[in-house]
Amino acid sequence: MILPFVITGTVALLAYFLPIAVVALKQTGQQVASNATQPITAGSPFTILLLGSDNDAKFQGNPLTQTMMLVRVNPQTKQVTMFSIPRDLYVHLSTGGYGKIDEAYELGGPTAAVQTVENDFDVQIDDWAWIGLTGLVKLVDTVGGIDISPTNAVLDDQYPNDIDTANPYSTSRVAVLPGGQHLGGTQVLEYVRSRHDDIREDFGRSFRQQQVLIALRAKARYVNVADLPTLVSSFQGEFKTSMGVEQMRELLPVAEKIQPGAINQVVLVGNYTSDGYAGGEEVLFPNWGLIQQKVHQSFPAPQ
Amino acid sequence: MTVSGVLRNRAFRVLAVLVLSILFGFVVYGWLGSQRNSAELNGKVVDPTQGGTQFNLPGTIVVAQAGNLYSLTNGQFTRIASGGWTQPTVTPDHQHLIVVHRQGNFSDLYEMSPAGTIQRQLTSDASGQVDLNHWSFYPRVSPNGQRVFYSYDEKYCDGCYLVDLSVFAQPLAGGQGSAEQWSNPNEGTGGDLQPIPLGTGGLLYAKYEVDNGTDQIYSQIWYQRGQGTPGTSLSPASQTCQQPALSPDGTEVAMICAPIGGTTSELVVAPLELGQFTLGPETVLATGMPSAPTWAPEGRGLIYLAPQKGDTGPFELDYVQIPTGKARPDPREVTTNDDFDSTGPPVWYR
Repeated sequence: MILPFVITGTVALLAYFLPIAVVALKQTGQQVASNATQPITAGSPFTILLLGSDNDAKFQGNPLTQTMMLVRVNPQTKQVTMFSIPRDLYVHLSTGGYGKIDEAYELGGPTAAVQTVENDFDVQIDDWAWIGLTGLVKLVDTVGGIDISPTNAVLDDQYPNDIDTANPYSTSRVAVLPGGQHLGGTQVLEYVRSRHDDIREDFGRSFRQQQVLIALRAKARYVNVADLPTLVSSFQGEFKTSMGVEQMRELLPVAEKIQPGAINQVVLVGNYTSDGYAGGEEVLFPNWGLIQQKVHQSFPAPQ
Repeated sequence: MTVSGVLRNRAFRVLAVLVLSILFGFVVYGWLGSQRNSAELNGKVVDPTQGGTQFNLPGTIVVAQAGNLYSLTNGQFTRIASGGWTQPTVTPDHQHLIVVHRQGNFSDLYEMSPAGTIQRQLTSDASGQVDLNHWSFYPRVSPNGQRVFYSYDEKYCDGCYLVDLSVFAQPLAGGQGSAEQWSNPNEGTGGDLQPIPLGTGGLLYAKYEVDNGTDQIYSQIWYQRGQGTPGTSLSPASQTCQQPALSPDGTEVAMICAPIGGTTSELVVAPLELGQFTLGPETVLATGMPSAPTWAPEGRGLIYLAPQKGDTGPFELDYVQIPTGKARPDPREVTTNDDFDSTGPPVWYR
């Protein structure tokens, strides 16, 4: 008598969460070789490498990673450290030779990106997540936009107009004005992607990217398991991660409990890098002694 | 066959269980859907004319939502203009609104009647070449009604990457050809914003610069005696302060301040002491993410915009009275679910 109800109830559950299951198979749980020796246990601190790419129509294959950010989460102390890695940092790549660190993902996908950061920064990365341009727009729109307070006007007369356009080499103008405001996905992308007018160049962009991540955290309290199918299905290939769906589900309450004051933001401004040229390009040469000292204040070295 | 006979029929009972179990499946699916927080996530933003206010504020308030302008009188909103409108201000005689019309790569200033009828275009910022378009933002009319001040991006050079806003002023009755540059922005900071012309002929605005220690861009409330003069900071160096709003009697400044690099900000008021080039002790009126303060016409309170849920949600109109004595400020939400445009202050006049 009960069996038919169990069966139809299970079918309903499966039907509801089918989008997650499909995307989970395609986009999550993508393990790569890393220094991580064992899976993260519930409640223990862990490190994620966040990657973001300009995967617009101009690129074929793996794109460069315009954003690389190490995030250390300690669920017990409810503290987070966000450590932005300059995209122009000139480093030894795990695929061989030297180049800008944003080339690692282009040359060898997430495996190369993770191994390059682990080797050069002397850290252990437990998981990684990658998001594309339209993935960020969809994420922000799906959570209903975010509230953010730009410190200054972000202006750009030559912003790449390369999404949903016939000419991916065309440009448009951007003006995100300062002060508290509610931003949708397209505006958030403009805010974190624009760099031409910022006197701090890529460092300024890193500050803005961390600000957006903190604003997204504030939305975590309004996301529950029943929202995951809509969220996950909205990405359509614009999000990949080594984390499983269950692990992501466990992260939601952790994100909710972390207060803005417990988030340590690190951007490598000052003596950590020096300007220079390599391979005919402007690059940033790392001062590894200072950088690793800074990194190890929050990110433990591999054991 | 009697009813009891039907129920005893085995085939019928199997069919009934099947139908009920299928219905149960739909109920489970529907219940899961009802557990989504999509409404919370996406907000429940409505056209302001469909709602109203929690309590009445005297006079008329003009505020923008998603490119539309609304006039609020006696607790009821009326849409007065649609599409691309933002950052309204009013002339001192309350006979005209000056409003930014933003579309694509440029924005222009327009003069319109309080009922929303367009009367004149004050700037012409459009160009066929993308990077030769201009922005005009934050209009404010001088107390004598003669000139309109605004932030405008004068080009450093053709094809330059850098673009910053400077304060410009032009005769309200004249054209953009007679506009004069008042301030010189720090390069690559976004520039000089939110001008407030003073009755003395001077100017208050938010000036941005880079903090060499932290590499953060911060802003200070800046005072210039006249056009092109160097000016001086009025707000404390330890804070980033922006969005100045001058009280109707000209003796106090409301502004949004935060520690440099901080994640929360405050709405504060401070006495304006121009003779000493400083602001007096601050009184905190609201915290979180307040924005776009505007003084009440009689000067005893302020409206501003802030997230509905404190730190995330649509931006709503809030009101706070200036506390007297040792009373604590008591901010009150005036509207809900409207998500007003908080990039410029609303207008409030009687």
